[in-house]
Amino acid sequence: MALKLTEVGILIYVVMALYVAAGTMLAMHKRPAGTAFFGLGFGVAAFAFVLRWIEVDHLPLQNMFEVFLCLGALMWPITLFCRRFMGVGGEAADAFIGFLVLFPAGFVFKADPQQLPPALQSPLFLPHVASYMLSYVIMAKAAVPAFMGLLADRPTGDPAALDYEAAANRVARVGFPLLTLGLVLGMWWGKVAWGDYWNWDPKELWSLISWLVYLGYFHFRYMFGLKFKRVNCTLLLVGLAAIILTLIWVNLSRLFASGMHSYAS
Amino acid sequence: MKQLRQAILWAVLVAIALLIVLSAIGALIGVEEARDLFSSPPLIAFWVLVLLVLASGFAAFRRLITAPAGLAMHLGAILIVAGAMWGSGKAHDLRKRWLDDTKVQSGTMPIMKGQGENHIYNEAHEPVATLPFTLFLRNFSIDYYPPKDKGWQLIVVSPVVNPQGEVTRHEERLDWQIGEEIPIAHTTVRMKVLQYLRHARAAFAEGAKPRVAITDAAGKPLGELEPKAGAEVALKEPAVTVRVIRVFQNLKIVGTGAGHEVIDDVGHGENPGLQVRVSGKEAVLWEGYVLPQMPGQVKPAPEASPLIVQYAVPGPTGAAEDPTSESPAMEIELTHEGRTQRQWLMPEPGAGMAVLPLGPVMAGAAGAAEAHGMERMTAPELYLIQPQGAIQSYKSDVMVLEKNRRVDQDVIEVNHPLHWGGYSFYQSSYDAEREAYTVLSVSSDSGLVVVYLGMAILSIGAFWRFWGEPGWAWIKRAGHGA
Repeated sequence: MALKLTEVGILIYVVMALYVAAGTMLAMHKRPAGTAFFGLGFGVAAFAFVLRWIEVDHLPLQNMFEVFLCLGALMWPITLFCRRFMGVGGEAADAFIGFLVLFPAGFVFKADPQQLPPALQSPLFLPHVASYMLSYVIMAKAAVPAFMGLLADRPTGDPAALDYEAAANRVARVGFPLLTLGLVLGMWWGKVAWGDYWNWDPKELWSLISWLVYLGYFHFRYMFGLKFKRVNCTLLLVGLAAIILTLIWVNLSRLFASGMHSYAS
Repeated sequence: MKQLRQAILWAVLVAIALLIVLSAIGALIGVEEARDLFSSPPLIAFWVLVLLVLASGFAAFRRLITAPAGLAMHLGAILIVAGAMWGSGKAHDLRKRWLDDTKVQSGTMPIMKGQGENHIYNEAHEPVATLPFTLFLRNFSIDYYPPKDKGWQLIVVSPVVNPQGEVTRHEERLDWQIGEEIPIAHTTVRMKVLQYLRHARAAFAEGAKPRVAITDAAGKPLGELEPKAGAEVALKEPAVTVRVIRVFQNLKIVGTGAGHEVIDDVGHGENPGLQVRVSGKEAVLWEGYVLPQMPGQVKPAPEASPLIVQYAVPGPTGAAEDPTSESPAMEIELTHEGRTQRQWLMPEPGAGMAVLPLGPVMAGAAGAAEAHGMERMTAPELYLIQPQGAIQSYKSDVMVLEKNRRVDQDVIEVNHPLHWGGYSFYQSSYDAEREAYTVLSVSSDSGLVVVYLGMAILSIGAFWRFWGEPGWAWIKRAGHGA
C-alpha cells in the first residue's frame, strides 16, 4: 500500500474520484451529471494510459499495474457497449466497479518495471491474467442486475432497460467465453511452466469452481428457462462469490495448504 | 425422448454440482491429497460417467450436432477429460502393467555438468524408467538481474547462539570510512579501512609474477615466458619453441571422451592453467594443458631427456589500481587485544565476493594455525560482497544424444521446457552451492495433443456461441434495418 505521486498515479486518483462522483450521481438518478463525470473519468483514464505508453515506450500491458489501469479505462466503453447493443443498464454500479478496479492500480501494484521471477516470465502471463480480469469485471457487472432481480422484476423509471434477470443473463454471456479463455490459457501455461496443465493447486480448483458455477447456470437456465428466475439470479451471485474466493484464495490458502499460485502475491 | 433429455440434463446438473463440491474439498486438503482424491477409483468411475453423459448429450440433443458452437464446446470438454485420463498417472500405471509400456507419467532427472543421464527417477531417487536417448548437460548457469545497488558492501557474518542453544548466522552490514576505526559487530575486533580501490587487480611482489618456467629434468632453467596468449620463447638447446596458446582463470574439463571440451569457467572458482604448444623445427612436438600442480613434460627427441614446462602462480601481496577491472580491493587494519595486522580483501576477477575468516585474528598469532582449522562455520567472517540482483533465469544447456550422436540441443529454462521422445523436460532445481548439477523434472506428454485440441475447440466454441452468434444476428438485423 503506497501512494503513487507520479503523473500517472495522480491521474488514477482523479479518475477514482470522478468514478465515485459519477456512481453517486447516477444512483441519485441525476443522469446528465453522472454521465458527464463517468465520461470525463474515462477521458482522464485513457489519457493516463497513453501517458504511460509514452513513458515506458511499449504497449503498457506488461505488468499488473498496467493491466488494471487499462481495465479501469475500459469500464465506460463496456457500459456503453452493454447499453447500446444489449439494452443493459446499471451505469451507477459500473462506475463503482471502475473505482474498485482502479484501486489496485492506485495503491497495491508497483508501477516501476518489475524484475519478474523466472516462473512469471512467459508470453502467456498477460493474456491469462487479462482475460481473467476482464471476465471478472463483466461477471461483477452481471451480478448487479442479478442481485436486483432478487428484489424486483424490472427497473423502475428506466423503460428502455431489460428486466433484471434477462440483463444479468446477457452480461454473463459476454463474460463466460473470457472466463473459459482465462482457464484454458492458465492450463496451457501450467504445462509450459510446471510440466502439467492441471496441478490440483487450490487456486486452480477455485477457478474451476467459478467456471463450473457459470456452466451450471447456463445448463440450469437451458433446462428451466424463466421458470425459476430467482434461482437463475442466485446462481450468478454464487458465481461472483466463487470468483471473489478465487481472487483472495492466495491469501486464505496459507491457512490450509500452500499451492503454486502462492508466489503470485 | 423428452424424459431422456430431462434425465440427461439432471445428470449434467448433478455432475457439475458434484464436481464443485469435490473441487472445494480438493482445495482444502492440499495438492497431493487432491491429486489422489481425483484419481481414486470412485472418481475414475465419475469421470467415465461424465464422458458418458456428454456423449449421450449428442445422441439426445440434435442441436449439439447441428449447431457448430454447441458441438465444439461439448466435444472440447470430451477431448479434455478423455485426454487427461489417457495422460494420467493411473493410465500410465495400467499401460505399464498390461501393455508392457515402459513410459512413466512423471519423475525427476538430476544431471551433473558435463555428464549424460538417461534414467528417470522417482521421489525416492530410484530409477523408474530408462529412456532410449541420453540428455547431456553441457552447462548450467544462473542469470541475475542487474543489482539495484551497484556498490560493494562490507558485511560481517557471525555465529549467534540463541536461547535454545542453536547457532544461527547473523549478518550485519558495516558502515565504514577510510581511516576511521570501527568495531566489528559481534566480535571484539576493531577494524580500519586503509584504502579502497573500486577497480583493482592483484599486485605481486617484485619477481613474483605468475610465469612459465622451462627447465630440464634436473630443474636447470632453460627459458622463461610470460603467461599471456601468444607469448613465445625459442630455446637453443634443445631447439624448440614454446608458445602459450590460451590462459585460463578457471580451467574446467567438461564432458568425457571425444565430446569433451576445455572451458574457462570464469567467476565460479579459481583453477589457473595454460594451453601450451611445444614445436620442433618441423612439427609440433606436444600441445597440452599446464597447471601449477601439473607441469607439462615433453621429449624433444625420442632418446632425449624431457623438458619440463611449469606454471608458477605466486599469491598476490597487495592490489593496484586497474581501470579495466570490475573487481574492487580493500586494505584493512584489524586490531584485537593490542595486536594489529593488515589484510587485503580482494575478490577473484569475476567473483562476487571475498572472504576473510576472523578466527585467526581473534585467536592471536600463537593460536592462529589452530584457530584456522577451528570450526570455520562458527567463527565470524568478514565479507566484501557485491549485492546480487534477483534471479532472472536458470539455464540448463543440454544436448540430446541418440546412440552417441547429437540429435537435438536446447537451453532448458523455467517456462521453456524441452520436448523429446514423448516427454517434456523442465528446469526444476539445481545445485545451490556449486552449480555443479541441474535437476530436471520430467513429465509424459501422453494425451497432451488431445487435451490441447479440446482446449482450443472449447474456447472457440464458447466465443462462437456467446459472442459470434449474437454478433452475427445483430449485424444481420442492422443490415435489414438499413
